[in-house]
Amino acid sequence: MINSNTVFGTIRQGVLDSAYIWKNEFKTIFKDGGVMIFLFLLPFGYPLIYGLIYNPETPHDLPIVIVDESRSVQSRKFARMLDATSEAKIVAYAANLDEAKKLLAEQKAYGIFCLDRDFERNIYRGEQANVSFYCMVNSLLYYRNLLTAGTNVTAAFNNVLAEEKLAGATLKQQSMAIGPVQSVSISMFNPLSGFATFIMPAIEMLVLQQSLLLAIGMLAGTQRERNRFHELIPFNHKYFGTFRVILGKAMCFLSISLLASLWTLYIVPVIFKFPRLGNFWEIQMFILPFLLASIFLGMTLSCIIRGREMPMLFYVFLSILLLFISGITWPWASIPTFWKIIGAIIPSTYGIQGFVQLNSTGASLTDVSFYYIVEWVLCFVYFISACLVYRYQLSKSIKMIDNIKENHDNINTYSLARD
Amino acid sequence: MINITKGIGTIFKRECIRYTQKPIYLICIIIIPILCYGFFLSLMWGGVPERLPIAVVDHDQSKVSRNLIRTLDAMSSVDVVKKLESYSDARAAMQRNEIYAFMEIPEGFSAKAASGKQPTLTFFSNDAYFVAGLFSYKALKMSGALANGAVVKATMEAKGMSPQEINVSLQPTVLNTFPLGNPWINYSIFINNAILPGILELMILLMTVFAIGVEIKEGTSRRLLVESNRSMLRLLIGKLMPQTVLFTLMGWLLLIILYGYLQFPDKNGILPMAIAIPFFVISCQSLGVFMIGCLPTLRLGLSFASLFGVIAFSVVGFSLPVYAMYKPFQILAWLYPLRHYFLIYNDQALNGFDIWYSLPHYLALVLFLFLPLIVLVRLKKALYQQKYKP
Repeated sequence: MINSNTVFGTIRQGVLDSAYIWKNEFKTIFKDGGVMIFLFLLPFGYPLIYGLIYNPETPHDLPIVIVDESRSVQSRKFARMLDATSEAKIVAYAANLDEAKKLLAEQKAYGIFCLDRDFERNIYRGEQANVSFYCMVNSLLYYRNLLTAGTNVTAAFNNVLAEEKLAGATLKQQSMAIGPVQSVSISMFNPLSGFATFIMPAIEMLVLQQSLLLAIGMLAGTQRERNRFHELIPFNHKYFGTFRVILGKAMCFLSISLLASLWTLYIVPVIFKFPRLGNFWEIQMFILPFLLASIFLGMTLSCIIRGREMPMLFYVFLSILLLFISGITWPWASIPTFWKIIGAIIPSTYGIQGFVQLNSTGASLTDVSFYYIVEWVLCFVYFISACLVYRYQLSKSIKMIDNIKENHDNINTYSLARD
Repeated sequence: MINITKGIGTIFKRECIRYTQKPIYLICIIIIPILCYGFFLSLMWGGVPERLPIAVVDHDQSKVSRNLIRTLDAMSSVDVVKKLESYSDARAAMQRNEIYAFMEIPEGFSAKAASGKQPTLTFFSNDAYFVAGLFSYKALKMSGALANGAVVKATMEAKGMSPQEINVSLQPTVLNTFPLGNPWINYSIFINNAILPGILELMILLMTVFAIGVEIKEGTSRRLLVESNRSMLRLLIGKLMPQTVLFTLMGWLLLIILYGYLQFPDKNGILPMAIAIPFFVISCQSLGVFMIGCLPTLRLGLSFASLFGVIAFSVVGFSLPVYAMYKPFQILAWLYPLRHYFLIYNDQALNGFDIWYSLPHYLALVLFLFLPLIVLVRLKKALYQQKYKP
């Protein structure tokens, strides 16, 4: 027998009880289809789905229309150069702007390049030749890619003109005509400036957090419904100790989510060949407080948002908000302070930023030490809050038992009513 | 006829009473959408990011390079927060997430520029952050062009050329850009016209499933069926009508905020969008009925709605265009009312095309009404049996 009166005995008993609860929670999870969906299908399936959606990275060969009013050698040359870019592809030549706009309305093209009637004449007359570029902005990427194509072609076209015109000129004269200062742009950490490379790390982290919040919330709801008196803590003496319950449950969820994180953060990016610069162990170290903070946050919230189905009503739309508050799309520097503060108390906000730094930019754990510390602070705070709400729940369960003991008759009525 | 409306009326009243008894309905139908409107619109209030932190690595340290940095700093979208010694310092600052971009000015920049040796400015942007990378890159590129202009102008003016001649030799051909509908490239316009209706769609799907599923769970669905004289049509209309009204009002509120108060582009006037809203709401509700009909258990139905509903934000095509996606996702996109609403918005509000082009999408929204028919028998059976499988 274990003597639970000594400190050592209490600890030992506590560890044993935690392990019991851990095992017990596992059983409950595997019996609950709804929880299984969010704990397994979500983190294992969704990164794949999102990977497949965003994998094309960026649109290629966007259909464009040319309105060539000049109908000259030079204007045809300009159009051919556009067609040769990876971003744009000429699908039609329209007689005028109205006809071209009709093609936009029919979704047959996304941009119009209109070459002036005087395009060639202006070039040879030494005046400025105009190209008008009209772009649909249904998606930011139409605009960005076609603008890149247009700007590059214009620059290249100008260079060709300058070279033709300046055959035999001095180096200095040539450079003045082409542009004395050259510039090179380098897209860091996202070579294609693609969509998947930028959004996937954020989605992966968010999926991990949301899967935990949803599963913990739903499981708590199930337990409330199953337990005799609709309380969170079951009538089992092994559950009568706040730390035991919290640790036992946390270990259960942590073990599953660590497995899920291996899949989500390593295997999925390998499958899709997304860029990864991070060090495995440093990312593991960073993930630990993030997952724990999410688990304890989930436990705390499971006492506020009750009912098995409530988590779905409250957490799903929140995912979209959390993605935006993380500063991955709309820059963190431009987010109002009020939302920054709200964002800071949610594990995913600094979790995503830290993970993007580690994984995408190849930062070290010391580079992201601020985010790392915040995650541990959140983990600690939510651990305390989880303890407080569970302590309260526990005292409710114990009070109920005491009531029953006093009133022996009632217990029969209760169980009769239940059966 | 009187009987039909009477049956609907009873259910309608019963549903309204439920809303007053459980706060969850009004929280999900009214408070969550309003919270989201407030969140997204205040988050991107300016629409264009301002004062993004960037750095410069100035190896030249000349009057010309300092001028260049001052020009860069004067741009509203960026803020030069650091002047660093080397590329590796700047890269490290980027890894610490202190800057989104930096410019490297090579040694002997001003001397080379003046003597026609074409020095090269290098711009580095952190494209792991898409919008920040894009906007800071634009500012850097602009400063590069200005630097070019400044050098040429100085030389040519010294030669006595007129401003017009200078322009021509700088750029014999110019590209004039006209982004149709959103000339400011306002990011808030890109995002909020799709995300906020998306939130509405998600909440409509969830609440439709919830309203029906909870009757099965609580064991009141058989009574509901009896009250509606065993007519599924009456039951569904009466039961979902209060939500149709409330969500339509929430949709119109969104239109008033976006096109009335914020003056987002709305070329064909408010009417085509205002008409689209009830179509959109009812098509989402039909999809919701289909979901609970397929999986007539509250939690499975809700899981279906959640897991299917969040994908809408990715396949609607405001981020990565549907055009660029793989074929199965292009097809999947049509299964979301949000996609059709978004296309109506693009044609009517953003681009101002003829209403003719949007008719197929209004029609598509109507077609969603047929979805519940597929599962009607199954749903009726489930409502009658009201078996709740935990």
